[in-house]
Amino acid sequence: MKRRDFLKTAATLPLVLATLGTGCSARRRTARRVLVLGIDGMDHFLLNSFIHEGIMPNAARLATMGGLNLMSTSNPPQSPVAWSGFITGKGPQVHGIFDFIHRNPMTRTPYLSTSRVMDPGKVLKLGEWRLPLSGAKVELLRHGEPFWNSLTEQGIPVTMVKLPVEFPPGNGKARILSGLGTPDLRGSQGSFTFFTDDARSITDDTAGGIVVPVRDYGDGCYRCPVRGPENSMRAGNPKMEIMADVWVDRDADALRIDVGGRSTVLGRGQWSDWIELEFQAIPHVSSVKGIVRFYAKEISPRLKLYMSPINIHPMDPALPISNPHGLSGDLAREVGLYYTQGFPEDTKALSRGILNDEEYLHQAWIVFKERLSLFHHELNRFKAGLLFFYFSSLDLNIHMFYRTIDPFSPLHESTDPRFKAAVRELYAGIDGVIGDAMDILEGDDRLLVISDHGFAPFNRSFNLNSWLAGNGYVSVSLSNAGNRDMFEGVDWSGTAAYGLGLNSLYLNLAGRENGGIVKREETPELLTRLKRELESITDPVNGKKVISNAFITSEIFPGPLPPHAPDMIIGYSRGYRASWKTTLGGFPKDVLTDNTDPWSGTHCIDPAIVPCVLLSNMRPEVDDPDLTDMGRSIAGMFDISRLPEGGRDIFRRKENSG
Amino acid sequence: MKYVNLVLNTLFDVFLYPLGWLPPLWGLIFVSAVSGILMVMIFGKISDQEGIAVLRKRMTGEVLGILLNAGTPATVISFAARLIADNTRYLVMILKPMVVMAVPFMLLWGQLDARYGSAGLPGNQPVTITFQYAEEPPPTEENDFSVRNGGLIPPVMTVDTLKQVSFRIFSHGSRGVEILANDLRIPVGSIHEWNGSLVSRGFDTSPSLLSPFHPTVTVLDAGTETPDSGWYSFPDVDYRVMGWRWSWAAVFLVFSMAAAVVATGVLKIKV
Amino acid sequence: MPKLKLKLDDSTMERLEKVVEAGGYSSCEEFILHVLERELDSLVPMEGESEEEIMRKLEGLGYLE
Repeated sequence: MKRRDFLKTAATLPLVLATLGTGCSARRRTARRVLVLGIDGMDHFLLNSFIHEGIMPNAARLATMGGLNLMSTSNPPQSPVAWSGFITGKGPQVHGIFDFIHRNPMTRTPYLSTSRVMDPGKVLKLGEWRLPLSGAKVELLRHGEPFWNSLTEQGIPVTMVKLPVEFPPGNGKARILSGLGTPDLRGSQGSFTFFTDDARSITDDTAGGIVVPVRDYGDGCYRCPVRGPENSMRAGNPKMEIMADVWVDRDADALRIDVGGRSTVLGRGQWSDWIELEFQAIPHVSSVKGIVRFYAKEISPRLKLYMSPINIHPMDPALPISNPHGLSGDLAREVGLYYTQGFPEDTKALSRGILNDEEYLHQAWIVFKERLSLFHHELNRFKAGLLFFYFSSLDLNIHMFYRTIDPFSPLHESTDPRFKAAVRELYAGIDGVIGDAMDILEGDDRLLVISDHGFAPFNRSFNLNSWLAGNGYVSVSLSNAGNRDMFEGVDWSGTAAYGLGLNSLYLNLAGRENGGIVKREETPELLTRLKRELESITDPVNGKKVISNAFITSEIFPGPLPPHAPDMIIGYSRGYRASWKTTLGGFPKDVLTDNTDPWSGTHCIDPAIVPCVLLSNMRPEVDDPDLTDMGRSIAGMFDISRLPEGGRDIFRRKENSG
Repeated sequence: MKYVNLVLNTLFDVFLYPLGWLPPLWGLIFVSAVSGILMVMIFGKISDQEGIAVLRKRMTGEVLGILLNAGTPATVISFAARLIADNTRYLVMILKPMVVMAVPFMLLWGQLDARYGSAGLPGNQPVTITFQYAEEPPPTEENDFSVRNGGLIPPVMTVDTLKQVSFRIFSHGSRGVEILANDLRIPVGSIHEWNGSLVSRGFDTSPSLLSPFHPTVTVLDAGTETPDSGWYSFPDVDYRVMGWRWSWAAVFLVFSMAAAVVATGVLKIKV
Repeated sequence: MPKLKLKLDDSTMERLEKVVEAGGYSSCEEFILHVLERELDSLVPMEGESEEEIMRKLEGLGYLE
């Protein structure tokens, strides 16, 4: 063979082998390690822009290997729905998550869609005391089989860190640390406490946390009651409380927090490390532990002391947050204590003005650094199998700082220019994570960087319920219901449809809703009419369409739907979202209003506008990857005989050509 | 008392020095096992072994008597009464050795708590130090204190009502630091590089009678404007044994008891 | 885990298989479990949770007011 012929043959050989390989799964080279970075809210447009600006060199390098791919997200494009699709490879009709918020059809009261805590069934009553004879049960409301079951069953080690919609974690062989959906110790999604003697800060507003008035009686001490979880071992479930003594030195502009036998000194503008709290349910017998961080916003002339939501203590968790049970504690011992709540960035504290932009960003970076420590720890021990690691930073922070990059935001001009680089810096931080991940890759290791949805501005609010009322679908006295939640003032006997949650519209269906009036045979016509009318709404301010797609749920999700499924999913246009009031059944006066909350970015709109992103060191074989394909595609990278049922293997040509 | 404290601390430092190279858990297990064996040996020396042997035989006979005469209540009552009486004699007999052993046991307990009960100064997070003064604290600034092998995080604050001064320090690594406050030199230990030094949760310039049982770092050259005592907000530590998290006390009790049981069999000591 | 046997006639089974395929279920068992849970949820909805408790659980969710 001549040298030129040899070179030709050598050049074509990989192609031939690759062609053969795609025809038979057994011949494809399988991976020893697959690392998946779940970057919540990473947006295709922003990612592309920052790559071109040169601030994401690692993402750029990865894109040259497998492309910067758009990927279809879920409908609606909300994180619990999207990540449930990722986990199960199926749609909401199977995994059962249609929105952050579902409602009980009988009472129309909303509830968190992902999990619920059931009280202990049998309780022994001893005077004031209640001794549970069985433990409280936490139930994951997401159904369907996780894709990693087929990996663990076939001997592939699996670790999923801060996995969304997995609270409580499954009890299989996978190592799991629960992420999005994990509550704080009070049972909420994150409830801060703000201690102050500043009368102007004291309000009845309880959104996202509580403001506790405190007073210095002249001895330099503020007695600050820290309200913990309910005490299920006492009659009436009173809240457990411990006292934190906060001593102030106004000359030094410093304070000392004495709680639980330990002290912490903070100067003005300083954050504490994690402080352990122990709430006694039965003194010396049963207690519940949590961890908090304090921030001394102001000491003199007024005390303004922020306390983070009480996170479940990872070393002694009151609720199951990891599988195996000891994993959360082992991680804390290795890397230090960390936020265990599902939404660690305190967006509500910023929305309510408890923290300002600078203070919030500082807290957000604390979260990011903690997450990095966990990530590096897991990278160091990652020898084989699948490692999934989730970052919340882009999602929650871009919700809060979209106003800095969108000149049309009502808050754009009033935002301090110092924070206009926040989004860029966050993306650069994530690029560092991608770089760290790429650094450990060897041989046939695979890296996937995926997001669950993109982002869009949230400049205008649409009051769906007000529109329904104004168009005769809801019978309500607006004077009574204007600023109230939970459908107060609604006459259900004259109501055909109502909105609840971020994208959900429900019919007031006879036989399903209590006192429902819409008959089953009327639903197709009613839904068609609603779809037509909703899609024709225009914003009087700028003439833009408000809703680009009103999806009839039964049309997009074939098969039987659970009773908590909405009848219609509202796909808002870019720039619009369900109003704050409408999400919990309120009826404000105006149908369309400016959004003046710092929460200025959204993705709870038409899924076509906010697709997700896939970066990988392997190039997909399909042009239309979907987030629900990821599980099967990841499993297909290993040498196993049984693949998960849902989705397609997008890296396998044969599977997608038929 | 401070000299008693100092002598005891030094004695234990010397005794435990050879274990300095071991990880803390292994050092604790070793100390626990040796303590258990020593306690049994001391008990064997100072107790009436012959008397205990006789009493045990009699009590065994009385238990058998109860079991064999279960159908005769009067006999059972008689044996039970003798058993109770012998049991009381046994308790009286072991009272003396128990009292004698209580002193080294309490000293050891305090020393182990001070050496193994705390994680010491963490290398990666600040710790708050509080100084207690007898009178109103002198005006203090961060320059009044220096921290060797670490640093001070301002501000330094005064709580006039409590006559206290508080501030935070950090360690440059996993080693202990030394705080220099006026004419005080206060070592703040670290278990991570433990070689016999105390990982105390505080110090006391004039220790009380009870301090030998719960030792603090003794400061000998206290001046008039120096703090009386102080304490550090150290995190507790626990040890992983057989997949469980144990406090130092649990490790000590379990391993000293296990060693003691083995020792009674091997040394043929009656307890 | 307790097991339950279910006997179906041919036409029901045929209809079941069609729905399972159309709905994207991996098996008939998954479908049956899903429908059963759905009905149980509607008959015994969110037992033991008061409106106040429900609102507390939603507190802190940035997406809502």
